[in-house]
Amino acid sequence: MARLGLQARDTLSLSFTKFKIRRIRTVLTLISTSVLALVLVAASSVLTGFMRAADATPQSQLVNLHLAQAPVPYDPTTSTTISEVTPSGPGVAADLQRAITALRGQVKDGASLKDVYVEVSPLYGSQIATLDILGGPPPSLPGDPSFGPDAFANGFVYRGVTGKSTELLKPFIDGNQPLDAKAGDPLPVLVPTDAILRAHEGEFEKLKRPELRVAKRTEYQRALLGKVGQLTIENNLGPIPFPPDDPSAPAPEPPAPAPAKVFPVRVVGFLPVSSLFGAEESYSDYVFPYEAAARNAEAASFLNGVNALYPSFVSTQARNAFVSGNKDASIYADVVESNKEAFRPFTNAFRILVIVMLLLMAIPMAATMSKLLADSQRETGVFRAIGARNRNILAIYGLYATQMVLASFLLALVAGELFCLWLTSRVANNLELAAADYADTVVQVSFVQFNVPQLATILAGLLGGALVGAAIPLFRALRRDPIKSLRDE
Amino acid sequence: MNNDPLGELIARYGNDFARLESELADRKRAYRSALAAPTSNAPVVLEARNLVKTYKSGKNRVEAVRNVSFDVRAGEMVALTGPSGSGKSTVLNLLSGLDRPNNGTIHIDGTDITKLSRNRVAAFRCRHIGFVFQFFYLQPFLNLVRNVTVPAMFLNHDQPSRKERDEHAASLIQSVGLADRALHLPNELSGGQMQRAAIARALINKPQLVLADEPTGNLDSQNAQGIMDLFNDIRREHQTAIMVVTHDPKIAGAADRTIELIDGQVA
Repeated sequence: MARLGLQARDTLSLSFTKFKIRRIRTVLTLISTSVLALVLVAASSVLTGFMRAADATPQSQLVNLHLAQAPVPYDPTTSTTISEVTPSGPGVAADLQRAITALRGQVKDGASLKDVYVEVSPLYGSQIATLDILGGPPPSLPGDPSFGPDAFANGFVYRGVTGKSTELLKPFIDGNQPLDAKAGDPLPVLVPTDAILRAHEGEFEKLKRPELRVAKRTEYQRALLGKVGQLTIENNLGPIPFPPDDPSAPAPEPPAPAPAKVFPVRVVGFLPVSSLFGAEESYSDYVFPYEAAARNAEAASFLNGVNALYPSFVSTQARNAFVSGNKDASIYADVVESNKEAFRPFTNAFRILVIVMLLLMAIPMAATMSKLLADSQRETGVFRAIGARNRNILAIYGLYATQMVLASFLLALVAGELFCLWLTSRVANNLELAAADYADTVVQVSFVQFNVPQLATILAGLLGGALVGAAIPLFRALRRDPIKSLRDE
Repeated sequence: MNNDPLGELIARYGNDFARLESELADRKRAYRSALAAPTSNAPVVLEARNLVKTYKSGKNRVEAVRNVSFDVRAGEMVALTGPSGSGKSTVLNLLSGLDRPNNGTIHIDGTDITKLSRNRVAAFRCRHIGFVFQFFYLQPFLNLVRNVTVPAMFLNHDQPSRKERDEHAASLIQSVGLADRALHLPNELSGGQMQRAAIARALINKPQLVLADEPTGNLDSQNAQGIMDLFNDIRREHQTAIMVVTHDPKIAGAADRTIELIDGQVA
């Protein structure tokens, strides 16, 4: 081992002198390979930044919650369907009221969080419920600009017993932890974050800088967390008065509001419902038996493995799988298969990227090694005359290529992350604001990321490319007659 | 028997000190050479037998070396001379194993190197043969100590530790008279100094045979003589056999014997 170590050290010192022999070419190669590596490092960091930002959204966390809880397989006969609501006209609110009453019935003394699992969709185009906890305006009247599809954001009945943050989700994930609930306790809800924006619209408008808006909203969210309020459900799906044909005719009387029902609720988190469920027109509310949780170990194990590589990507794809609505199939199977399927193009793209890197890396390296070896013919001849074997020559020039790649990679890493730092300072705020609009949540976006598996793959690809590029001129040099090498040049 | 050689010389040359000095140097050299000359029972280090080497030049076959045989004993210095194209360099390449003869055997320290594979002969050369080139071929970015140790880096077995190697290199550098230049780069040395460093490099692995291809061809006469003196010291101290390819009759004259090649044959 000592001998090997000594040889390695000697070879390294000899290979290092090559940098001095071909200074200009070495620098040019270093620049070209560094630029190539920089593009890859920057791409990796930006991609990772996006993925991690996406993963930080409540949607992703909720999807993870679904995955942790989803029965395997989903079996409607063992689940208690409280209600299935379709926003098809009058009577919906009554159904919803029944559903929530039933749901509240699940909250018993000593109930655990997992005993209650409810999803209630926003009802597209309808305004049937209003969260009153913000002290906001009463439900819009027909004819109001927010009525109809635009009223979507104004009235929701929200998912119970879930949360935005990891802390809120932890009881679910950890298992059968008590809610410390008592019969008649407020029903846990999530508040739509855009409701906060709407309730304090004036204040937000004053704040010009996006990061201040995000900070302000976060502040409001923190203040709201844990507060008890009222969920008012009322039926306003009566006949919709269209504007009369004759503008001068008197406006019709608005329909009498249906009697509202009020439920006490407690804010346990914040939810950007619109982006989670999109424009789903109907949704089902289920109470899943929780004993199925144990069967999710396999799913969790799989997802943990995948998450370790591409955490946010899984979440994104899992969400799509979850809302696919294929009730004939296992939810678990959907998710897992969907993940696998979703990963396939990504994995393939990454493989292609590595191959492209390898080829691109091989070009400058082959050119440099060809020139270097052509210029060093006499030197290799001398080395062989004084006793160097093929493997000594290979090691000297192979290490030269390796040193070049490592230097390029380090340069690219520093330059790439500096570029990402600059990019973050330039666009992250806007992205955070855009995320707030789209995902309706506060997401920190940073492109300064070190995705170790990806960086390792990039380095391996660069090394592979360099060695492939160096191989041909190197083997050609080894085949050359040392006497000719000594005589020429 | 002259009991007063110096008195005799003074009487012969009078006030012509230049000639006197030259004669003294020649006698000194002859004395050192006589001291270094091997005894007839010294072991044979190199044994070349019936070497034949032919090349194809278009449709013609050129016999560069024809039936060349000779021995070199330990501590012996042999000059290989001959006109250009006589086959000197070809013989040297064959002896070093860089080239293979079409026929014949080359035993160095008992091993027939013509039977070894290319890699094995490289390893053998590293251990048993030192090479001195006309143009020195030192690594330009390594100092003298590092340059001298380069062949030791290629040793496959029994590689000394870095410390031992550096100490040996330092002692060799001292013995060739470059102790004060040990940490200098080659471009900071004169031609003669570079050749001395190259000789130290050739000796780092303690070879039994040193092959020198026109070692003084790129030096002035004074440095050339210094190199030959150094070869004499080396063979005396290390009992190393030295084979020098040269055009210079004066250099050839300093050797124990001369093998002259004409048209690929020993004249």
